[in-house]
Amino acid sequence: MKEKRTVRCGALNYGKAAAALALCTLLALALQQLGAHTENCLMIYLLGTIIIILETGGYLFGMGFAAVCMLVFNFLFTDPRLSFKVSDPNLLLTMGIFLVVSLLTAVLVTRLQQQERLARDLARRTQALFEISSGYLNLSGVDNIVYYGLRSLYSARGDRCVAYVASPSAGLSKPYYIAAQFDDPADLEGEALPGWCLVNATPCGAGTAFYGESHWLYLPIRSSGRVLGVLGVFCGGGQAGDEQMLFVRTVLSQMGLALERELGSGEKAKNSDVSSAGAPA
Amino acid sequence: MCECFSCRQAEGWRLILGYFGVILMLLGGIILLPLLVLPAYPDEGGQAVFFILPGCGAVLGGYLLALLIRGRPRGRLRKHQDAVIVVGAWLLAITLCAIPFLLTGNYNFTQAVFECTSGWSTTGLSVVEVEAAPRIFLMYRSVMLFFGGVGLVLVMLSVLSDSYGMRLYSAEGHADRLLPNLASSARTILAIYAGYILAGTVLYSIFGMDWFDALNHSIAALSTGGFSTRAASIGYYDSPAIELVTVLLMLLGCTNFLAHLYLIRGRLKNFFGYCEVRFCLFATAFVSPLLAGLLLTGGLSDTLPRALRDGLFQTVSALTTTGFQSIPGFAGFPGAALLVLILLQLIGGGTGSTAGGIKQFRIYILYKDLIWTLRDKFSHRRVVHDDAIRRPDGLQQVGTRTRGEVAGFVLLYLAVFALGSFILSCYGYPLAESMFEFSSALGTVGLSAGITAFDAPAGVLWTETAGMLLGRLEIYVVLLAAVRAAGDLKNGAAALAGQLKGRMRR
Repeated sequence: MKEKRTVRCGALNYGKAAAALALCTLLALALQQLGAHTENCLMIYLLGTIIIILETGGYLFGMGFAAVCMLVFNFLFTDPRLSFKVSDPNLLLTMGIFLVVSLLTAVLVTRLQQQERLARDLARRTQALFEISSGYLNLSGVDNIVYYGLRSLYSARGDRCVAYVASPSAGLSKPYYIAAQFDDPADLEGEALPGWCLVNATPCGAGTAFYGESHWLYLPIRSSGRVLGVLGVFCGGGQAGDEQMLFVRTVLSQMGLALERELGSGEKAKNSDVSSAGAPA
Repeated sequence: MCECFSCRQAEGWRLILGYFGVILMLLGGIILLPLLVLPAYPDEGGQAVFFILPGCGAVLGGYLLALLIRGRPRGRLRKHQDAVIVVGAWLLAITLCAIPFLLTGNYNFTQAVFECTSGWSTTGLSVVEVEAAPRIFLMYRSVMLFFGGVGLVLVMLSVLSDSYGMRLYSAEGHADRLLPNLASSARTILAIYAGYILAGTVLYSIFGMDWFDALNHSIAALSTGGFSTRAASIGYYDSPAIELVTVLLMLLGCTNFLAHLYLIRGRLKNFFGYCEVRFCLFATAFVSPLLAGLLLTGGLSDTLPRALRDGLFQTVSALTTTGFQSIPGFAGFPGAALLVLILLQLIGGGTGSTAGGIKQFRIYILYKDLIWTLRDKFSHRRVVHDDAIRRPDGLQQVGTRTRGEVAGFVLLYLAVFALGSFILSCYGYPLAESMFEFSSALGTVGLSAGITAFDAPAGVLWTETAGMLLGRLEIYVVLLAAVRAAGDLKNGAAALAGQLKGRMRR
């Protein structure tokens, strides 16, 4: 699916480049017919190059386009016409400057687009975190809290996760996961690593110093110094990126707070039952 | 986002300008299309510059405007701003497409705008001397007919999948949605259209037209535009076969697009059961012999077969609002025949087609309204009737509100017709010919009694231009857009004045 999309994007970029080249050439020919100077015709190609860089978002593609434009300009607009020879050395200088300007513009535009993409991603992540946090304020029930976290991580970033809650008697609870996210049940590992993580209160798995060959990354769910459970993030053979980790840890802290609140209120209720049972008549 | 009045207004206008940007890019591409003719006619290469400059300029300008909406949340269109987009798009198309004519130096602004309005509204009235005009310009007119017939918004929606698509589609006067997805509907309509044009071109070529004339006439017939590459129109060929092909294409062009889908799928019962198809066939069958009789008795046709041929052709040409001619002209036409043609031009073609006029659907509803009213007068007042008319996809209930809207529209249409005819007659033209000419413009027909010409007064051309635009956009959209735009301008000016006052106080 990703391959198909990449091929389609590639074909679309080539299509845009072809259309831009055709339009620039037509316009330059028309302007030349009206008496415009040759250098002005080159400016049309520069405009086309900038637009292609904006559209394709890659400076290599833009530079390739600039090179093709330069060749077409040389072929159609410089003496001797319809050949790649150049009789006027000044035009060589002009074309050289054209390439340099194209390169600089490509670099600047690409950086600007990257920054814009980062800013947008940041805004989106912040919005997602805000919504997740707001959702936790009104949730009750351990199951609800855990499943909400799993669904949020999947919908925000596509992260497939499994969670375990610390059980007072037997270490770990049953695994919490959303079956629809796992086509292959073999992706789910056993409880050895999550148990280790819970006992040692230390992350382990993919990208860590402990059991780094695992396909999963396990993180303790903490709150007020206590480890309330373990969250496993499926990395599929790779490593979790810094942005991913930041997002997951933020959600994890919210999950931890909600779990502490839930487990704490459960204990309070138990204690108040015990004290009322033991009170003198 | 700030929800204050000024910010919401600004958001709406940003969206409008963004859409205009997309439309400009499409228009740029449309203006460049006639260049494809040059390989066949290389001696007209010198004309290319008249298309390249506005075409490339439009693409670039449109690209810059479209950046206003690219990669950003779209914002909200306020009430009736969809009408502003539709009318603005049409005005933009007409003005931009007039530039190639202006650049030749052979036409002034009035003539250039008139020709483009005629093309985009698929009227067919012309100030161009077709026998002397370069072929690239003849093809250019046909290109305008093609896209004008389908609808500018539809063309935009076929490439731009959009949440406001349905509003814009309805605002342009399309009542039917062929398929659940609007972009698919748009592409289906374009495909149907292109298929018929190809078939028409092949048929015309078989019957003796050269490929260039065949393609242009096929587009003109199906779009019910009527721009011919010959001064004598279809009459130049004097061929019953060519006239028959033209009649078929004109009838197809004036048929609702949804009905076409049923026809193509072989659901003939739905197709022939549709009220407009029945009305069109009945009107053609009834009026053709009547007009033939008038032509024969008026001495305009020599023999009965010739009179029937001309009667059929001109009836279909006027009813479908195409505007092709098989006879030399309408000057000296008997008054009765002119009246028949005026009525046909006012009635027009089918809704959701390329044709103009009041539309057969509305006339049919008025007719049924009369029948139902008479029936109600004679039946007991406690009897309840379920009044409905047949459409391709089934029965449609017709309540009093619909009947009222149709009557109101027809009244408004006739008022505009009366006003336009009055203006033309003020220039000294006989009343009958003024009415004929303006009904042709308002109904986007294209038949001319000789008033429309290269040297016609500017006031006449502008009156007809306004008539063509009002007729194509069915009047209400233009009024809504004008009211909305005026309101926004007034509020914008008030907000600006308030801001300036505040700054001066500080």
